[in-house]
Amino acid sequence: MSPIIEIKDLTKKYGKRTAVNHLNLSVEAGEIFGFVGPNGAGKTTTLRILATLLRASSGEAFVASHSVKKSPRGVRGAIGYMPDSFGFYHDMRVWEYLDFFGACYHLREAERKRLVNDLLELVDMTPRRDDMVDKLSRGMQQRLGLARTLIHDPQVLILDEPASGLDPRARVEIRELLVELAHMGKTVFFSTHILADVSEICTRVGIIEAGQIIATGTLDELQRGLATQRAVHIGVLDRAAEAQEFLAALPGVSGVEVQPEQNHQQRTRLEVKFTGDDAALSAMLAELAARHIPIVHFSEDSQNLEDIFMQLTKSSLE
Amino acid sequence: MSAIPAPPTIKPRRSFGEMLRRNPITLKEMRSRMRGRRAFAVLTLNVFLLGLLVSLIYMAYAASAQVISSPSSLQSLGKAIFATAVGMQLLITCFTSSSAAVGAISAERERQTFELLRTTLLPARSLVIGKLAAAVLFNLLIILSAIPIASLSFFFGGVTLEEIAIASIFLIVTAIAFSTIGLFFSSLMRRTSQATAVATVVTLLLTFGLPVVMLILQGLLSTMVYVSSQTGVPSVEAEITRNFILWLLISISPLSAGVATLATMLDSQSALTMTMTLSNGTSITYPSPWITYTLIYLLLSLLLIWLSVRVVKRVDK
Repeated sequence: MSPIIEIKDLTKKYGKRTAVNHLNLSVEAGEIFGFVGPNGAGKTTTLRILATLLRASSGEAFVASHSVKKSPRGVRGAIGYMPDSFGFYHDMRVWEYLDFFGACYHLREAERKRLVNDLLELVDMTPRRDDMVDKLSRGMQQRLGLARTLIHDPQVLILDEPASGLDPRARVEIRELLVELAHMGKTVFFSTHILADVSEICTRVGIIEAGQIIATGTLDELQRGLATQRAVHIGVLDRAAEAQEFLAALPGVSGVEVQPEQNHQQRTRLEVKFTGDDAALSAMLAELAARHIPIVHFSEDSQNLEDIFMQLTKSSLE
Repeated sequence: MSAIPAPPTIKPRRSFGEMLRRNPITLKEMRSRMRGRRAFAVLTLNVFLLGLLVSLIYMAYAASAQVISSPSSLQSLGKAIFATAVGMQLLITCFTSSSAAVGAISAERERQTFELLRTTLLPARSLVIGKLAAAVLFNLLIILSAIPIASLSFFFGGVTLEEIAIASIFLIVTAIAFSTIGLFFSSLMRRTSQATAVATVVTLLLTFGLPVVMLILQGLLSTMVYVSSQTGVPSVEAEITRNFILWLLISISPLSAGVATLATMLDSQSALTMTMTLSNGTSITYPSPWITYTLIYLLLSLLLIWLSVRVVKRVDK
């Protein structure tokens, strides 16, 4: 299956400054793709090129097989775009706002009426149908903005920082909505610097730094790709010295540190630096159990997205 | 890669009225414009100002009782009321048209809704024409609101159907042209305040600046025509050139074109031509200023609409 978003060698220069530097990326249909990077990394520039609002200096990008350069109208029909910060017509009611944008997509009046009702229900705003848009809270406005992007039933949603500036509840609501949209078959491509949003809902992540993609993949793939060695934490009740000696002699183990347990003084915590795979890890646990070492805890220290992001952007800076 | 077909660009042919009714921008703009007190206040002020002016004219005529009793004077009162109402409406239309359209595009940018519109399937052409149509329709409403005042002249007579038709064309063309000027600067400039300043200066120059330039040039050119002749009798070619320049300048400004058309019609010349007499007694006939004005301003409007569409269509580089 061909990717629904395909970016090939995309470059955008503003004078001497390069905002996007030979960027390559592809997103499959139905994915929730998180585009993560620090401020000024080139996220918004890339999104604006995909939304046909900005011309690339070189390279090409395709959305639903339409070239952003050669077929911008085709792209516009296939996407729902929500910029980082966007305005409202303050003299409009909620339903009028959606109806107006429906008309801008040449939808018939009867069809618009039905769609407006459906979308208000989807974003849980039916009771606010007749409210003026400027009376809505920021979270409600963001949901209305999301409903606007859906009015013409696009295949792809391109969202620039959809959860920025929202309170925790509104952020969770937006996240849930994005997941629901993905279940409805939409591809969601969104930029963010809120890593919790990405780790909770994204099927894949792309990390951009200084205009270049420095890593793409699922969270697991990124973790595995980065891990030069795994850190395994083992809690034992006693015989810590024996366990330490045995573990240190295992192949793939580069070191074992003994650390006191702060909350359970009778326990000892061992941190094992290990380069083996999952099978070797499982064998390690089986060997310890076979030696009747009293294990109370055995876990691998997994890196979260924040660690991965920091590590990747740090190595990129170096 | 199999492309998903792009939305169709060819649509069935529709009448202009149908196109306007289906243009979401026109509908939205008209709805917004008529909501609130602003439209009501503008219409009331327009009728009040015109009513006040016409009342003053009537009172000035009524003060001389013998004038008002003569039938021909009654007709001249009718003409005076009509000319005043149309002249005042013309000046009001120049400024209200320009200001009605000056925030059309720049306000979308300031409100951060421009990009949302640009990513829809609405063509730049529909956006520009929709905004323009809303501004022109609002100004036509202002013009229509003045009809009861202008029609007071019909009680006294003296106003011909031809004059009413020319005045209507003149006002409609002015509404279209000055709305287009406002719209053009709105598309060109990022801020509405900048666009308003430039559009107001241009409107002032076209309305009052050009007649002043014309008066200065008239003196200068007449002096040059006489000074350049060795015999003291100006050459026919020099006089024709001078008259052509003056005729063109008269036709470019709404104020001078309006006054010249009125003067020509009061002189009982044709409504379609304007005659200028040279010093040797030869008469040269030019199209009446309102015709030239209509042609020039409609062409200018088309050019500015085309340029505005190009600016709106432009993808940021």
